Amino acid sequence: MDSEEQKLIDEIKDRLHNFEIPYEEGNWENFQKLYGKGLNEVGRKSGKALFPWRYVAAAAALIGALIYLPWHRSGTDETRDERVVGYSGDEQPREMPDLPMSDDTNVKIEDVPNIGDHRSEKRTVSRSVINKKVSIAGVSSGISLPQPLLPPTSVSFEEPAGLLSRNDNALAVRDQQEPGGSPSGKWRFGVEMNASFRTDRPNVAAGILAQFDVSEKVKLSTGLTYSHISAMHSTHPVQLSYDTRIIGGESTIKAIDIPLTIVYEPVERWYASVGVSALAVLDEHKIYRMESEILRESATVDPESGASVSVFEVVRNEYNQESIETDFKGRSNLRYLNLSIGRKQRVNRTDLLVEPFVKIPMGGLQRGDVNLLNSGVRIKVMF
Amino acid sequence: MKANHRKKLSTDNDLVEVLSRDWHNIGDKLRERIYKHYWGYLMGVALRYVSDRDTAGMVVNDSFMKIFSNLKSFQCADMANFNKILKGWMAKITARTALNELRKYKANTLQEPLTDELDWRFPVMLQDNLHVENVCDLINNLHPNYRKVFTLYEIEGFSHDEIAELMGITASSSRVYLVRAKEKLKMLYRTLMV
Repeated sequence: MDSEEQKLIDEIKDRLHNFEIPYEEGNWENFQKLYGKGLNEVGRKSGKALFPWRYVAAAAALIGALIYLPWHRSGTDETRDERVVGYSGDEQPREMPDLPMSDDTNVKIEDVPNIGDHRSEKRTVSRSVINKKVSIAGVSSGISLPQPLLPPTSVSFEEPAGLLSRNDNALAVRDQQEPGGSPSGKWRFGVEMNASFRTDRPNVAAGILAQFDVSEKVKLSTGLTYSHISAMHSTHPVQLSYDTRIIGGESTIKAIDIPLTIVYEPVERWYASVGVSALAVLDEHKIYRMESEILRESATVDPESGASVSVFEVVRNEYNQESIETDFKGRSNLRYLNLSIGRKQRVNRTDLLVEPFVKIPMGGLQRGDVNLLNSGVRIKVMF
Repeated sequence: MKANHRKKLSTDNDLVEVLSRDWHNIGDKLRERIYKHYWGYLMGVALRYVSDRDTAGMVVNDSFMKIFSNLKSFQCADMANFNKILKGWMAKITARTALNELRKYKANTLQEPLTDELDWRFPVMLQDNLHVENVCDLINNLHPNYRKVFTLYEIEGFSHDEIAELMGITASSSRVYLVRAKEKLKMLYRTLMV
C-alpha cells in the first residue's frame, strides 16, 4: 500500500470516526416507550446473575416446607403413641397397687390366652372387655374399676406384671405404624442420572432428588439436576450471501433443572410419573453450520489436442461458526413437561429405579429454531 | 452561542467523567444522558451499514438496550482514553446489531453478485476537499459487501475472523473484499479530485 493510499484510508477513517448526527428530540421518549419494560429489568440489581439462585432457593424452600410439615405431623403421632405406651408399660404398675385387685388374697387375675393378639392389633381395649376378663374370687359378677384408675389400654391388665416391658410396647406401636410396609408420609432421598441422545453427543444430567410418599401409590418428587443439553436447530437452509448459506445449527446448554413430579405406582414395582420442571440456563453456546461454495478454476491439458483447457469446479465447504446470540440464557419461563414410566427394584435397603422419559419443551423453551424435545433413560437410586 | 457550546462541552465532559468513575451502576437519569449523548454517534455508525434512516434508528435503539444491559461487563484498561474506548465498544455493538438486522433481509442485501458495474454507479463530483459527506458518498457507492468489510475492519476494528463470523463469509473472502474496497476507494478518490 503506497503512502497516498494510506493517507486516503486514514482520512476516510478519521472523517467517519468523527461523523455523528445531532440528537433529534423525542428519540429518548420513543426509546422509553418501546423498551420501557426492558429498561426496568436492566435497572434491577443483577437479575441475570441471581437467576439460577432464585430457582435453587425456591426449590430449597419447597423441599424444606415439604420436609417440615410431614415430620411435624408424624412427631405428634409419636408423642401420642408414647403416651399410650407409658400408660400400659410404666404408669399402670405404679397405679396398680392402689387397686383392690392388687391384693393377692382377694383378687386374682384370670389367665387370658388371646390377649397377645389384641396387643398387636389394637391400641386400646374397651372397658367392657376388661370387666369380662377380671374377676374376684368368690364373687360371680365382675368388678367395676374406679373411673380415674382405668387406663385407656388394658393390655397390661391381662399380662402378669413385669412381663410387658416398655420395649415390647414400643415394638407394638411400631408394628401398628407399618402394617404390611405401608410407606405413607415418608421422605426418601436419592440421586439420579440420565442420558439421552439428540445429537452426536449425549445429553447428560445428574442431580439429587427428594420424594415424599403421599400414600402407598402416590408420591411427590422434586430435586435439583445439573443438565448438559445439546440440541439441533430445525431450520431450512438460509442463503446469507451469494456463496454462503446456513444449513443448520446446534445449541449447547448448561442448566439447572428443578422438577416437581407426581409419581403413581398402580402395581408394585411399576410406576408412571408426570410433572413440570423449571430450567435455569447457566451457559449457552450456539453454533451455525455454514456451507460455502467456491468456484475454482484449474488448468489442464486436453490429451487429444494438447491444448490447455480451463476447468471450473464448484468446491463446497462446510464449517461451524459460533453465534454471538443466544436463545435461552438469561430468559425466564423456561419449562419442560416431563413424562416417564419406570420400574423399581429393591436391593438391600436401596431402591434402584430405571425410567425411560420424555421431556417436552414448554413456554420459553419453544422459542427459536432449537428443538429441545428430549428423551432417554433415567436411573435413580433411592435411599 | 459560544457560552451554550461551552456549557454543552462541560456537560458532556461531566458525563464522561461520571461514567468513567462508575459505569457499573447507572440510574435512569444517567441512562437518559448517555442515550442523548451517544445517539448521534451511534446513528452515524448504523448508517454505515443501513442506508434507511428509520432502520438505523431501530438499530440504534436495539444497540442501546444491549449497551445498557451489558455496561457492567465493559472494561477499560486505559482510563485516559475512556471515552474513546467506550465509543469503540458501543460502535462494535451497533455494528453487530446492524449486521444482524441486515441478515433478516439477507436475501435482498447480501446476495448481490460481485460485478464491477455496481461499484461505478455514482455521480462524479469535483471537490477541492474531501468532506465527510463525500466520504459517506464514496462509502455508500461501494458494493455492499466491500463497504461492510471496509467499515468493520478499518473503522470498527474487527478482525477478519470476526468479520467472517458476522457476515457469514470466510476470512479469506473478507481479506479479498478489503483489498478490493481500498482499490475502489482509491480510484474513486482520484476521479473525484481530478
